[in-house]
Amino acid sequence: MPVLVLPLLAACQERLAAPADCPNLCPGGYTIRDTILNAIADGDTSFPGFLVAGQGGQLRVSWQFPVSEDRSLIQFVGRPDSLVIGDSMAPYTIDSVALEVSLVYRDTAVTGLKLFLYRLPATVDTATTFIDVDTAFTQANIVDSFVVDTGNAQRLRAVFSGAALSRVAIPAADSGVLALGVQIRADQGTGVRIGSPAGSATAPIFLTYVQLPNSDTSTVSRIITRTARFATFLPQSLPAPDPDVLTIGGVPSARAVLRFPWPAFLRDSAQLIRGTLELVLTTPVEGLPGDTARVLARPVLADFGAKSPTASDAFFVGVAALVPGQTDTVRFEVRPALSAWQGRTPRPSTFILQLAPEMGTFTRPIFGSTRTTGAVPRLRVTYARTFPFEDP
Amino acid sequence: MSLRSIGPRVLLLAVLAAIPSVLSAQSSIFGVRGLGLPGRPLTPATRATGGSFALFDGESSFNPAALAFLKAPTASFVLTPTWRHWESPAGNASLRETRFPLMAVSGPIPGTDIGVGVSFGSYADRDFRLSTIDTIMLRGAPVEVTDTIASLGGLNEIRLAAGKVFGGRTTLGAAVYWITGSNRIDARRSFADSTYLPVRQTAELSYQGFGVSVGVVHKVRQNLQVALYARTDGHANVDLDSTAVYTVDLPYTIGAGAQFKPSRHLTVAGQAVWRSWSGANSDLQARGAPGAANTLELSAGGELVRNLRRPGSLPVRFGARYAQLPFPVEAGARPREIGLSLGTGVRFAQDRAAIDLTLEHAWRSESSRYSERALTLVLGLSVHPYTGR
Repeated sequence: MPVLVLPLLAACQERLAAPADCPNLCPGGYTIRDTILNAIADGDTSFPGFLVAGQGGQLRVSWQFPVSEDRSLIQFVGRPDSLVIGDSMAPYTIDSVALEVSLVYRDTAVTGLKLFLYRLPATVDTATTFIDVDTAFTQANIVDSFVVDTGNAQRLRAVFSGAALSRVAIPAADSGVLALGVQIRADQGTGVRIGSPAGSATAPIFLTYVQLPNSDTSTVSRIITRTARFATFLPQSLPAPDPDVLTIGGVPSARAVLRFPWPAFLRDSAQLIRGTLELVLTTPVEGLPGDTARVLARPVLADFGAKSPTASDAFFVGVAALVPGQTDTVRFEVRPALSAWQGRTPRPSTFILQLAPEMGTFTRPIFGSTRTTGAVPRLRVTYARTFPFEDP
Repeated sequence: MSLRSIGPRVLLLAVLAAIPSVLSAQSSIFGVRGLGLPGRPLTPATRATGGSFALFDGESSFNPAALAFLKAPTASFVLTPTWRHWESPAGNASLRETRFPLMAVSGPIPGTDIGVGVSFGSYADRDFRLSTIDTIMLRGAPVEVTDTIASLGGLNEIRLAAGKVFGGRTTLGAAVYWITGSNRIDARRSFADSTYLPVRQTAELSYQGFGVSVGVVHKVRQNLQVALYARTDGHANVDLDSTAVYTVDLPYTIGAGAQFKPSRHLTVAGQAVWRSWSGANSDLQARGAPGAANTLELSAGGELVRNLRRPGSLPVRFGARYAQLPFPVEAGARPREIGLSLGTGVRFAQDRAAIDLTLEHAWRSESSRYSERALTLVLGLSVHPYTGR
């Protein structure tokens, strides 16, 4: 009986795959096409002003750096002059003070890097200019400094006690507000990025260790923690925007709108295999050596120009790395975004280009636009036509 | 262990064990280009004789005149596990599949000499899965691609037929056919360079057509009968996902055969069937296929009854077959098939049920480039709720 049954059971498992001998044994066959679409003339523009300095996750600090000369300001939340103990307020005695800032990125090839904290007037605000504060960056106003000769990202902490407390003493007229400036020096011109209040774990912090009198003769230890309520960086000068190119990033940050024609054969019947957005750099990318930034190409949900809402799902966002000094054409794989341009309710065939990190990096790419000869943005689309199933 | 000692229950178990969980089909290298490998909706008993008994077998979906020979209502079901070996210039492959070429209900109308039947049978099978590796130029660089195209399905026929005895020696029959079915086709391409997204497209080709046939069987002598058969299937409308794309002519069929009983134990038969598949040639070539050609099918075989009191108990059936195949792989070529078959069967439950089993080996080839060997086990289960007119 097994002689009969076993072969039958074996036949239950289908095995149909065989090697094909094309073209004789290849009915139909895919046709793969490659097409290049240039951006719509004058449909591409850069719009500055999306984020201002200090709204990003990092602050720029630089010294004799050709790309940009920047000073950072940090203003902490006001420290109270008394604390609650029991059911009443009591003045405290300061034991020590600590200031912490985070170094997020530096050019490790640069030696002799030293980061200085300066005492600034408590009145600094968003109206403060580079010239306003530059005069405060004097030897006399130095609160402390850090030598950074190893490593890259690190937390820097300065502790003041005893006589050194005078360097961080807050006059009564300042209502407990401490303002600091950050500056660097090195063996050569360079820049660094430090954490801003938006940087969460890398945010600057102001700690005061105090003693409070208790109801008896003892004392109670407390820590008064103050985060920055305002932080920004001030470039010495800003490059003038050029309407004939596409600039993204910078201060305040710029984004670019890029529109493409999208023919019916791509919208309706093509199966997209690969889509590449190609942007030509008109100048080498400026920035801090080794500090890689990214350019994001986000498809828009509706085309309202600079205020177009963009797709937030990372799946649809094209990303290209950008290295300072780079001159090559920047290429983004954007097939998922192009798929949103297909179907019965296609999205507008428009991208918004944006830099990441958007505020706080020295990197500032400048791409050719449709007004730039030989550097027009283009979309390279590889697609499969409908398979001729009807052909036997 | 002799076949007799195995008994009908073991054969029934074998039939049940062979029923697969997924219905799928067999095909051939010669069913890829065109409408598929022509189906053979015959009973295992007839296939064991190389098909030579088809014109005289009322349970096969062939000559409607033979329905008049049925003495009892019959429901039959046939399945065919197949093992194939495929050889082409691109390589060899060992394949296997299971097909259901025939389901039929037929029998006499009580009190008359008329037999009627309805059957669901295979008309053309187009099941395959082909894969190939190639290198194409994309964006100025060579990229390796792997293509796979799979087709499942084919054309089937639903037959309504009747046959009547005239004058005791002649039976006439007629049938109408609804030809229908579909190919579910899945085409894929993947790229060695992962920046290219794999492509997959699917579609369903559906077919619709109608046909009619007439047949006659005449008893020349007590031990000799001859049969003629003619059929036309018009054309099939082909739709791609419900959109009409083209029509293809289906063949006229003419068949003739003779069955001779030289002794009480032995019956032999011979048959020739011609089909005008060349009518589809221009339609298929217009779609890029190599085309189609007329076919001639010759078969001969016999049945040796071992027990005259129980003729259905383990008879020995044998046959041979030569057939031209209609759809070549290369334009102008003439594929052909040669087959040998051997079978038997048992009846049990007071002759109310039967199991027939046939082993068929076919050699198919076209020039020296394409060939295929197929070993098919044809299993049939039939039941007769009651016997006698």
